[in-house]
Amino acid sequence: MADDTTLTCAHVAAALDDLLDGRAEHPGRAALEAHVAVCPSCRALVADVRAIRVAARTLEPIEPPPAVWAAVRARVDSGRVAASPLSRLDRLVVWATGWGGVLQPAAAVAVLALLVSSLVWVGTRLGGAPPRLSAGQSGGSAPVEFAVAEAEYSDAIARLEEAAGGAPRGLDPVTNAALRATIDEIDSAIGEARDALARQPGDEWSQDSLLDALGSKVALLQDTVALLGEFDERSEERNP
Amino acid sequence: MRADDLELARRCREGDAAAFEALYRAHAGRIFGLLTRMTGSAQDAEDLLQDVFVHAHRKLGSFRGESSLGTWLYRLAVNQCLDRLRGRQVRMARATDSLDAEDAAEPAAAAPALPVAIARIDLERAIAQLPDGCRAAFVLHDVEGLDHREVGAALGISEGTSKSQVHKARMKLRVLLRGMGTMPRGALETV
Repeated sequence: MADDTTLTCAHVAAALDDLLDGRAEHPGRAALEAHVAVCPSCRALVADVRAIRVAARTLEPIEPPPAVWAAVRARVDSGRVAASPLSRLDRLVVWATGWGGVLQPAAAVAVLALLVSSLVWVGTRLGGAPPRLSAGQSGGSAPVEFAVAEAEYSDAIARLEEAAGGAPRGLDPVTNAALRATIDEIDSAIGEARDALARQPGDEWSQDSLLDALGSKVALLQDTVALLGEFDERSEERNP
Repeated sequence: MRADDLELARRCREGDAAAFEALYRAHAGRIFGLLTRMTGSAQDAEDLLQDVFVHAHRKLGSFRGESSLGTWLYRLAVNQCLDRLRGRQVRMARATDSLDAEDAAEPAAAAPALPVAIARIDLERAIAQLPDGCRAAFVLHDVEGLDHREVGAALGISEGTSKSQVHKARMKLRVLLRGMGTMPRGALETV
């Protein structure tokens, strides 16, 4: 370690983690601290990393979306364990329909459980529950970031709606009705979030609500499109 | 505590759906937080969370109570997550190279420091932007509180590499957080 007169910022940077992680036995610690005391750059570095460490230790658990539990329960109930590349709704419905393509009563319950979970999610968001990550913190989406995200979601929704091609084919009437009801609920949430933003532009909670609702619709439409593709493939297999 | 865990595990093994849901409700938040931060992707974390609890349900027969159920699930989650991350190793290597280059370009001049209290949502966003390798080490060390020996064992790297990865993550986070427009500017005057 360099003595006080030859100590540079590079020495501090190299020893930074030892100093902050409490390894007090680090050689030359006193000299390093003396340098930091008189060097604005090193002082800022030490303070920043210390602030990051403190913030990291205060990060809280993140509640998963309700659909995850519905999917776990469905997989456990069905006895399926192996990870599947299919998405959540695929996992439920492909399992539910079985290879005969007939929706079984117990499976229909599982599909509806996911859709109901989405409805619960919508209701929770509209009811003013805290956002998943914010934990009451300031920050939120920057205006440009929010606008870009909203535009991307809206574009994805338009393309997916086109791909879905109107009424879901191949789904039984009960599942079809539940799917439509869920989309309607999400659309309602999107509308309310947009209304709120019209009243209070830049409101973080409304921005988060809108992005969450748009993201939820994208996910549901993606699942629907993939599911329809699955039905089409099976239909071709059965009726070549 | 341990007796409660054993009882809960027994009920789950016997097909008690309410017990398994209780297990999920008690631990899903912490594990989902870990998975989200380790992968940097909420979608990946959702899939992994499913896998963790489905595998846990299958493996509860092997739970002997040597550790708490929470610790047992935590280890299962870390292992599932690392399996997923290993599939992204090539991209990770590229990203780490990029990180090194960015670190080298960071000016050494004195500049405004981060605020004493960093907004957690900003930190979450910044963590998600880290390369996989140093993000995993950072999350396990600075968020989860594992020491470098434990991080090394979990990630299959040396203790020294763990220190290096955590250091890289902190430096990258500093750059990312200072670049976030939503963050107030200020400087700490004392060390």
